[in-house]
Amino acid sequence: MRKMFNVKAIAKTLWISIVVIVIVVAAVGVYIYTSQPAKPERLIKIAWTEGPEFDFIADHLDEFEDETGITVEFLTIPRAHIVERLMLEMLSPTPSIDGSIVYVLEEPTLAATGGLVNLYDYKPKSQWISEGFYESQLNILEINGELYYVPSLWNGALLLFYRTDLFADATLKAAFKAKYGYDLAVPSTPEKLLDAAQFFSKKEYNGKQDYIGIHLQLTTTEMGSGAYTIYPPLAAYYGGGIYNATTGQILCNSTGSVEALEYLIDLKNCAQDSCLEDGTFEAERAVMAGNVSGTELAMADQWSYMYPMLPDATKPWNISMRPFPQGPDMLGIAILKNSPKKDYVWEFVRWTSSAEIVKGTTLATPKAACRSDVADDPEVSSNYWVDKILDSYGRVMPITPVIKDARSTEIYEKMMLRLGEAFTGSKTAKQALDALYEDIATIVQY
Amino acid sequence: MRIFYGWHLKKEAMFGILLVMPAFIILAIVYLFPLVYDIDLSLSRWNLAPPSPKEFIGLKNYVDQFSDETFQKVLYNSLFFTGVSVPCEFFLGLALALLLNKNIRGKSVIITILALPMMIAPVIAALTWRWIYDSNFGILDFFLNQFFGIRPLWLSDPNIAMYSVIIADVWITAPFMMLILYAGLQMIPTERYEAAKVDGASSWQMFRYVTLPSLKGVLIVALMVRTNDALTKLFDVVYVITEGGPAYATEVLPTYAYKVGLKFFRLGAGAAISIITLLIAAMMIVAILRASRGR
Amino acid sequence: MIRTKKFINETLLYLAVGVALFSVLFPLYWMFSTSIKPPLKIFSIPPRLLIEEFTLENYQRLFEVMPFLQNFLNSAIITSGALALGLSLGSMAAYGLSRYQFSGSRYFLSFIVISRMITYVAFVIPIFLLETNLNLIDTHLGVILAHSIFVLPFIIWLMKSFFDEIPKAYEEAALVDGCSRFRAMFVAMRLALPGLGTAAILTFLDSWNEFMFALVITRTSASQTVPYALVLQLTRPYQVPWGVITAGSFLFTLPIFALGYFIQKYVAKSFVLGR
Repeated sequence: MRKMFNVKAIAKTLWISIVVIVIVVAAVGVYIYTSQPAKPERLIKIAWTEGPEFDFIADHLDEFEDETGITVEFLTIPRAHIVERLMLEMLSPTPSIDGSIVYVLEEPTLAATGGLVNLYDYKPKSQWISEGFYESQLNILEINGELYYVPSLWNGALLLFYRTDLFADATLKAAFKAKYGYDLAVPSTPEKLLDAAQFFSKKEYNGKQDYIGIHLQLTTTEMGSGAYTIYPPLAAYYGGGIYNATTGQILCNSTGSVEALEYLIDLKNCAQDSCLEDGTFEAERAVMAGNVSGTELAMADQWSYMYPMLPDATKPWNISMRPFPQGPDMLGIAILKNSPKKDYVWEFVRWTSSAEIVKGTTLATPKAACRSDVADDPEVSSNYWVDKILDSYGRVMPITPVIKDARSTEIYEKMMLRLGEAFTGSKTAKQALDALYEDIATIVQY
Repeated sequence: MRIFYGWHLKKEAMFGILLVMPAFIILAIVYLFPLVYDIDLSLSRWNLAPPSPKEFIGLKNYVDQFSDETFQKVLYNSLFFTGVSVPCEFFLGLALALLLNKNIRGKSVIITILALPMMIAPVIAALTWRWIYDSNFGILDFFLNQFFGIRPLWLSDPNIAMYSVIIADVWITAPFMMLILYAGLQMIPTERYEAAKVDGASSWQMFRYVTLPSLKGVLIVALMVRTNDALTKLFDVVYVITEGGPAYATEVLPTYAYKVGLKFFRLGAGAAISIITLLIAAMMIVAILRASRGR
Repeated sequence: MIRTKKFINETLLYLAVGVALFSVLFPLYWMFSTSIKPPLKIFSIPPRLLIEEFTLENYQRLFEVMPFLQNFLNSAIITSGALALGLSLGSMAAYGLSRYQFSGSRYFLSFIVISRMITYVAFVIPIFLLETNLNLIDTHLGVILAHSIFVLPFIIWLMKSFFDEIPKAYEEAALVDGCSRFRAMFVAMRLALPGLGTAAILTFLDSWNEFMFALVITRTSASQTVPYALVLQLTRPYQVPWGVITAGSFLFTLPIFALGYFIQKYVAKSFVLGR
């Protein structure tokens, strides 16, 4: 048997080594702290995130710095934490950021604190519109007549993706005509979309094989806002809604809303099994490309940025206008009222919403432009996706605004909960929406 | 002894107080003050979205929470989690400790390895498990699909998600139980076993009448600590693996208190949930103590 | 007969131990192997079980994609600070509680014991409000103070048990010899060194691995610790960089692997002796 260690000696060495480590670390820390360069005076800190648009701005940042002498430091904050972070900043008398990206869904909550600057104070609405910004988009973002950001960084649209080979196949077209009585074409209304999805997903209809009728994202992840952008607009399309913050009316269990949910459940039954799962970007891409065995998609309700990322080799896809309205997915920079450097941040906002920069961010990945002069620019308008996106995003199909109430985060969370119950069958559509009515009634009393 | 007489006694106390003072000051700031503030907060209504001034409302927060369907679900989740994971840890830990109590080669290395999960940051262990549970690229899904043809959705199925969290947490904490019980087993003098053998006891009887009673003290303490931790400290693992989802299937009291307080900004309600958690943990610990005395 | 039975028993024993070892080691192996796989291979379907090719690319990306060195340093500074604060103030207080009776000592002790029962989430809002007003948000000191919530009570409780075990004879002898009370205290400290070692190791673990207070108090890389920084990677848009996450996890856990032997020895001891 080996001799037992001398506990005392070990403890002593540990003790000494800890002291040594502490001293060394402290010394290194002091060195790093003191060797940092002095902060430039005109420095603004902006909460930021990732993506091709943001890379574009980062790449051109030195132009901004040369023009205005303002240095910008970016702090990456994940989307899921935006509300927590920003609320805490607004509570603090010495905020550590001066401006931040804000998403349309979280905007009402943040704005209700009164901690964001109204951009109309710097530039009145008429001037924004005369410069070419789409009024429909500005209206979506306005809360009580105040504008907190413009969607210069991201204006994502959902589009209908469809398999060109399947829609051109003669056998399938004949079978479809026989079953439904009209020609198979790319769906332009919700009813036609459901018909096509059901047709493709059942071998007994199309005679060939089971496809996944439509790929849906029904969960809330950073991948896709899921049911946020799918259900409320559908409910509005059918004459219902969720909650009207101005009138205080709760609409979620009206006839139209129930009809919309029942439609969505039918559509979901043609969707992939994992539609209620948290998807990953890689998985989405693999499924769309047909790289996952045994799951061929016929259609997909997918984000505009996904299209250029599909490797064309495996399956041929094309995009079309989304056959029903969508909610906005807008991202821009807002200014914090508590910050002493508001004016500098305004310069940054002005620069990022200028035509030149908006053109760059619009072209970075397919999205809706926020300025008409950019949309009309030949370099932009020559792209195949511009019209289809603008049609889906206000031109033909309206954009359904988000709930403009400070408690919207909670309301949407409850909505996801109830929708989940309806999707999994533990409640009927009517029961789920009645429960949601009660939930919202409780929440708005807080 | 004689030194500690008379006015020296007062000086004694003074010195003692002096020693304790620095720690006490810090604890007063970071521990007592928040606790008192929390109680005050739980009796008030203070929201930030939309902003409302802080006003006293008595026990209304508590009443509201208990009658709220979501809170009831969260409470059930916490109790369910505790009720399943603590016995799992306990039995696994006991089994391992008993195994290790035998003569095994390389024992100290084995113990060190088996103790690893509890030394790793819970967040990192949770990240590892999340990666294992991934529905598309996770190794668990692949393995189960290949050999059993089943593909449970570990992270997105509301019926399974809680078990995913339980498995990860048991993986992290069973070693703790194992170490405690092993140390306890080591302390049992071998004479007791020999006496029992002389009396003709079978190994099961030895276990029941020698091992278990000797372990009782350590066992009760470990049980109390783990029950308390399962109720009040389960934050990191849930936050990383499921963030309380899907649909509140894995939302437990600590994560819910955080959500209500710092995501929905209903500070009064969040504080009330924390206090309720504290009270429930206290009740369970008292119950365990009572039960152990009774035996 | 007995020999075969013994053989079977032994085989079963080693089998059981083998299963236990596998359950512990496989997730760790998976984490490590993911960190050395080339990024594209990480997302392959089906996942590759064995290490076919390895690369240090993820470790390189780790330093490009997040300020890992800064985060690691922050973790180290915060943990050292918590250790220094906790060990010094805590053991002093423990000595005071153990050796000296004064009014309120019992209340103090019960408060210490209760502190374990409180969910840390309860402290989050008051601590945040407190530190915001003291301008300690996003500073190392801010996180160190937050860590004192669990570090100080634990050290006091543990060291008090240790001090209780040490006979007062040594200190009394020292006092008789004319030492000041402080000197006498150091005599006791030296005797309680194993306890300090245990306390140091366990505190190190708790502070190094801590996540929630880091989540709430830190804002930027000025004070963000590695656990929080790694979780931040989970919420990246487009693609979760699992290669980077596992690489960072591995590097962060290295010190713990190194101390592994001591840790497991002291944890058990502290629990059993501390009763």
